[in-house]
Amino acid sequence: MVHLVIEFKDVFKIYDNGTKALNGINMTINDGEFVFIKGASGAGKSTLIKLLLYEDKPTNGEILVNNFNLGTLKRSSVPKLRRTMGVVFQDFRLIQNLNVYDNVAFAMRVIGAHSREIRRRVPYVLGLVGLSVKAKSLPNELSGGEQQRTSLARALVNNPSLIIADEPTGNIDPSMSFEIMELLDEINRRGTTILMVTHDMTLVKKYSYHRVVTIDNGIISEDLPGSKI
Amino acid sequence: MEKLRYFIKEALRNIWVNRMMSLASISVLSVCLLLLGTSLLTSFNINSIINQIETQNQIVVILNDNLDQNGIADVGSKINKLPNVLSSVLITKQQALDEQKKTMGKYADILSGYEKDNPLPNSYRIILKNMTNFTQTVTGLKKIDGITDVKQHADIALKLNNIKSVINTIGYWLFAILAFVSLFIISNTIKVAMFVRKREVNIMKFVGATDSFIRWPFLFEGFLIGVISSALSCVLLWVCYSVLLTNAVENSQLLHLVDFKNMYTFIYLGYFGAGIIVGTLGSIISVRRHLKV
Repeated sequence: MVHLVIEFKDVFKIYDNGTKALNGINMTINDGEFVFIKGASGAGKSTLIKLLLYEDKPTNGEILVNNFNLGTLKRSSVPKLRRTMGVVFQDFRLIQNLNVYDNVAFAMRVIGAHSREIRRRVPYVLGLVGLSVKAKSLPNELSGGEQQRTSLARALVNNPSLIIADEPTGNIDPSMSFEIMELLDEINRRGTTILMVTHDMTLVKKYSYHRVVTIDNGIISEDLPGSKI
Repeated sequence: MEKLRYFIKEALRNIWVNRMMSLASISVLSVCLLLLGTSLLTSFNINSIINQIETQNQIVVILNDNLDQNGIADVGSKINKLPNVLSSVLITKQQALDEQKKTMGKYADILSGYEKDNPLPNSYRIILKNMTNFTQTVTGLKKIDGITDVKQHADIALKLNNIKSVINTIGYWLFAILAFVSLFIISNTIKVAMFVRKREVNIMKFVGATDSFIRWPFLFEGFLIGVISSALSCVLLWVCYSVLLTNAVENSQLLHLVDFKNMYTFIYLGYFGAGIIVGTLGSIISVRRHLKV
């Protein structure tokens, strides 16, 4: 039986200034899928991510994420929702005065994980993203690709079932982009659902075996199923 | 325990990372607490002086010349039964004359003619328990048979009470104003700390930290600023007051300052109470207003 990870049902988002960001999005993402979300600037990609992360609420419609109905979600349940997903941002969002290890461990500490569990899990995840040797380095001593791998390790460390990557290759060299993409691909192969927003058409073409959803003016203009599925 | 350790560690890190602002906050709160302490100490000392004056303040009642020994004793027992009377002493005609002679010193001979026909009356000198019920006590004394007059210093008593109330009012207002100033400064310090850690707070949100987990380190920061400021103020106040006691009091027969030992429990408890309340409240205000979790 296919398990739904994300479901958008007729979702509209109109901002207070009248901007219509989403105009009736209907989309489902199944467990284990890798989905690219592409579209021009202002198409509604960022709004989509904001709604998924419960940073904002839709004007109309229903959103389900990992069995949480975001329309009826209590404030106290928001952390529970967010613990089911890992987020990777374009600007990495690393804490500059913490080294790689502590940046990753930080994500576990703030959800109240025990030190023993942190000591066990962080080295494993750093190994997974190939950063074991850089564990003691500060973010400003790392390349863009390495910073994004740290960010990816942080997203993975709490073992989420869904990774949301918002333009993860937007701030790094093209060669490094493939490195990140390979990592995301590997993580997906291990069973984690990935939703990746990108502008990078080269990447989308290279990994065209994944599903590609195109958003245009707040609606889904194209939804190409991946060959993998 | 692990969480508590984390909160305290993070709060201390906040204070250290944001050390200039924290230092400013601790300094201002310490100065405010010092001013508050100074005001309290001044109030204590003036209260003590007023109390001394109050205990020395007497009401003198003049007795009817026709009263015999029993009558005089009867008036004395009626005076002592009044609720606000602490003590009363009988001054006989002869004692009054002797006192008068003593006051006149080398001119005492002028009064020698009055030995046989003493015009001074028998009287009672009365010390009151407190000056608040002064008027009622005077009215009660006037109602006792055998008392012809009540010599009272109502003006002085009222003035003393007025001074006391003014000091207390100034003390309360000073406390309120200083507490407000400290609240403002601490809440701004926490606001800056939150600004500095904006990115961390943002990350905490996205990895699923609970609201309380995000807020606690900032609340602890205010709490710790309060504790540090209180401790600093306690030491400074003790040092300053000790210096004042040794220098001012030893050189003056008039100043009788209250020993710090008699007040330190109250002052220290007040300091830590006020410091912790102001510090934590400053954090709460800032966290509620500025921390969007």
